[in-house]
Amino acid sequence: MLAKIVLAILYIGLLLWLGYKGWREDRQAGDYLLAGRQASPFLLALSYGASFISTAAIIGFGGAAGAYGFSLLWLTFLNIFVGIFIAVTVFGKRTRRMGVALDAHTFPELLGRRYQSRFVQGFAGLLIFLFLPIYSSAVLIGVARFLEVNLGLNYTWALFFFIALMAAYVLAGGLKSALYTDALQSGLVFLMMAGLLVFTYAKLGGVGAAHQALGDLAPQVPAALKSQGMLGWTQGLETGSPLWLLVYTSFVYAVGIGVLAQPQLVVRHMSAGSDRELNRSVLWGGIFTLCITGVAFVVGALSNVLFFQETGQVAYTVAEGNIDRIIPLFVSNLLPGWYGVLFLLAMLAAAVSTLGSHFHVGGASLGRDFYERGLGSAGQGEVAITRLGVAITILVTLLWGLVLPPSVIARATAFFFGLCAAVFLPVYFLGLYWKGMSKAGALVSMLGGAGVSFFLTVFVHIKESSALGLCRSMFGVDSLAAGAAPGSLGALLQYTDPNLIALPAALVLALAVSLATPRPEDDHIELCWRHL
Amino acid sequence: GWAYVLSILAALLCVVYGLIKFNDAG
Repeated sequence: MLAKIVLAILYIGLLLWLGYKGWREDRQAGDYLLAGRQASPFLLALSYGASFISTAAIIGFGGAAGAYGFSLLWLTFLNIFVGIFIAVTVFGKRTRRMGVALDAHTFPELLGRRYQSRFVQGFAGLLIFLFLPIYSSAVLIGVARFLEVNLGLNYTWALFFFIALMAAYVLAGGLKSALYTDALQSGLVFLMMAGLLVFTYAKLGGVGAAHQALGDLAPQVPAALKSQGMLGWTQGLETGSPLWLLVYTSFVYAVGIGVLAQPQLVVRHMSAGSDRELNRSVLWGGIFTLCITGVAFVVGALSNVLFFQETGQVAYTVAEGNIDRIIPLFVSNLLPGWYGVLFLLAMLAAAVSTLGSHFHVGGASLGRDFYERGLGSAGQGEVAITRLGVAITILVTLLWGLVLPPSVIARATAFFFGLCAAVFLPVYFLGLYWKGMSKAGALVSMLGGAGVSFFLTVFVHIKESSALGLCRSMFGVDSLAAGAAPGSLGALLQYTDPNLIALPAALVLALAVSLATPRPEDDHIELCWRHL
Repeated sequence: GWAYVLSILAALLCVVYGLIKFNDAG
């Protein structure tokens, strides 16, 4: 324990020194964004990698792979092909150019100016401000679970400790990402994830032998998972079963597609200096995402073999059914102590970086998008409202962390990603590519997508509708689809992610209403398309 | 198995695209 604490102090000291070094250079350069242009390509590549590191992906979805197996690898494929390649080549470059033409600084502002609508910007800002903390809490919970398992801290105290650390970080002005700390953090995580993959495969006798050993564990699938449709970790899930619907509609679809409409990632496209930065981000993003999510999901699943060899139990059983604890338990119990503490510190640094960007977006969504533009209060205390927005986002993130149940990291992440896809993706994509996409089409699509998503979440999707209780109080059942015949559409709807239905509905509404209403004025379209 | 292989191929696609367009500033 003493060695862990000494290592932690050394690492945090190094981070603080690098942060100070970066801050001093940024001040001399006068502009934090331009300061990075002087750095070496290797340092920049490492720094850029930090934005692909997600504690939710490693701990939450890595744990989901530990429970549900290699089915999660379809999310790795979508993370790379859609989240990196399509995001930059289809969305990123046009986003940057239209963002410049419209002088937009946030994702809601880009939509608001494309559709000449204060309501669009205000509604988008409000939605992000209200629901981003659910995703932020998934990151917070991941770190708290790691502190609980690795350092033996009480889980609730771990939540308070880390949110206090974040508040101090924000107060110190650390919302803007620091080049050197990001580079150190991503270099460390990259090396550790690569080491983790090599260690696991080597320990299990190679790639084929490891997968074979995992497949041979199929008879050990816990009854709780078998009854929900689990066949085995390399055998997959029974088509149409509750687990199959959870993994493929919530995790793979909602997260794999929803990444395209993440407000904090769209801003990254908008603030790129040129297409060159975006092109290079495809290169680094492909490598880092394979190394982060690919390794986390493969090792998460293979942890079952190592747990079984050590304890005679599979990961789900060792974690007592809380899949958020699988990766922390694996790192803490089955790997060398020095590795565990380095991994913990890297997760802490990654979470600080991720949550910093979340809190920045949360504050801007309330101050700039909702208050200044949506309510039309320009120049009257926007900065104060933005700071209030940051403070509220931090507080609400902590509250969600306290009330959300176990095994929630992947679900909470999927909820926010899916909601962003349903509400924003049709108007974002059509706004970039179709000159006929109208303001009325955008309004109806966003409201319709949000309406369908919320209705299904509150009244049909059993996991949320039963927890919220509104459906039971109004209709006497946990879900309007409860009691449907097995295999019927109603039975499937109970477990199908609401946004699998809400996104196509929003797309149809956008197309139909835009075709039926006047096109935007030629002058405005010419402005939007000026650099395209 | 295809998910495993396609993930690696998708990463390779990103690497090849990034290298070809490495200095293309648009």
